[in-house]
Amino acid sequence: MAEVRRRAGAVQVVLSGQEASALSALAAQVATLLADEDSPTHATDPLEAMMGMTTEPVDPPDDPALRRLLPDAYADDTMSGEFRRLMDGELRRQKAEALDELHGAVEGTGEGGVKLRLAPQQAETWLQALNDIRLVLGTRLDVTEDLDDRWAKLGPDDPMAPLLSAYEWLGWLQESVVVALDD
Amino acid sequence: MRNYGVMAAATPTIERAGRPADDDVVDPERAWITIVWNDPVNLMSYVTHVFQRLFGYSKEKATKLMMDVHHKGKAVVSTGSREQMEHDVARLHAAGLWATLQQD
Repeated sequence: MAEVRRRAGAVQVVLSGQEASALSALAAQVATLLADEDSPTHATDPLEAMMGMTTEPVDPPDDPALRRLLPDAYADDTMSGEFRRLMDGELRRQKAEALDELHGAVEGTGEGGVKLRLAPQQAETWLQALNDIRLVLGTRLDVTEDLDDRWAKLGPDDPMAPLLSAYEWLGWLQESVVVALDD
Repeated sequence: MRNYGVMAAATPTIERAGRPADDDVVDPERAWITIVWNDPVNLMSYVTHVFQRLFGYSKEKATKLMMDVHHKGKAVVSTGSREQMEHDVARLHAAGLWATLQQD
């Protein structure tokens, strides 16, 4: 079972092999979602690619989970589109970087699991990545603040049950890292 | 978070590139505000942590803002120029919070 504690100025995270491999898979999946090649800021023009922006206003993503990761900055669609034009590429890149860092730390740990020592800045990156994974799962699962209520609507054999378990576990992990960091 | 400088440098381009069509409704005298909206996923502890880290708020102030988001559905977390608020919204989005800006 996972364990998180503050230790000598760092956050120590112990994960079982199963937990590490689930975390690694989820981080990779969300990174893939963000790297969507259909995204308007996935520019083919070399200059645009370098700048990470397009010349046209950018529409919000169709996928609700992606839209939650990359929300509107303004109530007004035109202003939001202009903000996205400038920021969407950079925001996707930042999020993908955080997810890659998390993925790199927990992938291929084998059955024995892993014991990690996260410097405060790394722990912040983890929080960001864990939060983005939870946003995607939470949107897919259509969660409310009352998780018991969500469980009640799922039968034990529901195919969504493992996702909801993962969502709950990630919430516990994220909470533990916040507490350890603020300790 | 790590790309602070890049985003700050990108912000003035919004001015030069021209404002959206409804620019004429923007009143230069009125301040801009950043609003964080409630959502069912973000943890209360994490939201408080983000307010402290991004804005340098005390634990008390950050907790009060988080509780406002939780109970009232939203809270104004910062006030300033449009450029500053766009910067704040970009940082909040990077942290996974649901934030928008508007004129006060």
